[in-house]
Amino acid sequence: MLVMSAFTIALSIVYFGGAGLYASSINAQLMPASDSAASIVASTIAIQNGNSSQAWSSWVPSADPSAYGLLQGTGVYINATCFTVNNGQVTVLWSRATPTSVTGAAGRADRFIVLDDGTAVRLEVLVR
Amino acid sequence: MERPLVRILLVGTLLAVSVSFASLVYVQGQNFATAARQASASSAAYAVAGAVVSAAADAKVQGLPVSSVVLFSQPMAVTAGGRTVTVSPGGTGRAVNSTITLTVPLNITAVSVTALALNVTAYPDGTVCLVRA
Repeated sequence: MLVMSAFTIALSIVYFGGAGLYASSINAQLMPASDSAASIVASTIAIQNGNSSQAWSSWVPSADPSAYGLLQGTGVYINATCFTVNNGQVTVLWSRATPTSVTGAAGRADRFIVLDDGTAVRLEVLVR
Repeated sequence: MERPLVRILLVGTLLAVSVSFASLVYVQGQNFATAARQASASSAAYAVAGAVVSAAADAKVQGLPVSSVVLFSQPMAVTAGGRTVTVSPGGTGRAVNSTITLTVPLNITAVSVTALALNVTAYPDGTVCLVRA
């Protein structure tokens, strides 16, 4: 009976230990996927607007994941700032962001695009 | 007379519990392995799709062809065409796979390869080529 009890206890330890290892392994595999998803969002926006200052000035950031081919329920946060540099002085022309930020560990992508009128856009995307 | 009977009943119950627990651990282990393969396929699919869109964006903004390389942790079977990328871990016979359909107007040249590394080349007109690196 003692042996059987020891067997059951050992099985429990293996089971819960395995479950913990499994969770950390899945998390480790999905974190790069979040970074890639953030890159997909940032690059999709870059393709849609290109380096056209006109396209960027009328652009409105969308937090809808389906607009970027991501699964429903995926949290998307976009923050874009357009600025110009004159004689070392940085002037922010406009700044737009989606209403709510994502919390916790999130994938991240940053893009810097120089536009056709000499201004530049810094795009920050967080995906969770 | 009663004590041996109680002992037999206790041992029998413990044995039954152990056997059912062992089966549960085995089934859960199988489920975990499938989920891990699915996560691996999903991660690789996002890596390929991310590289495709990123190269395409750079090509469009710069007006020049842009190349990048995607490295996998194990051989991956990649099937792509149009705006769709499907990836399955090598050895799973495509039973476990992950598909991503991009929303941007791209044209990925039809390809089906199994590789540890993939070369992604994007052109300013939106054409993207994937070849084994």
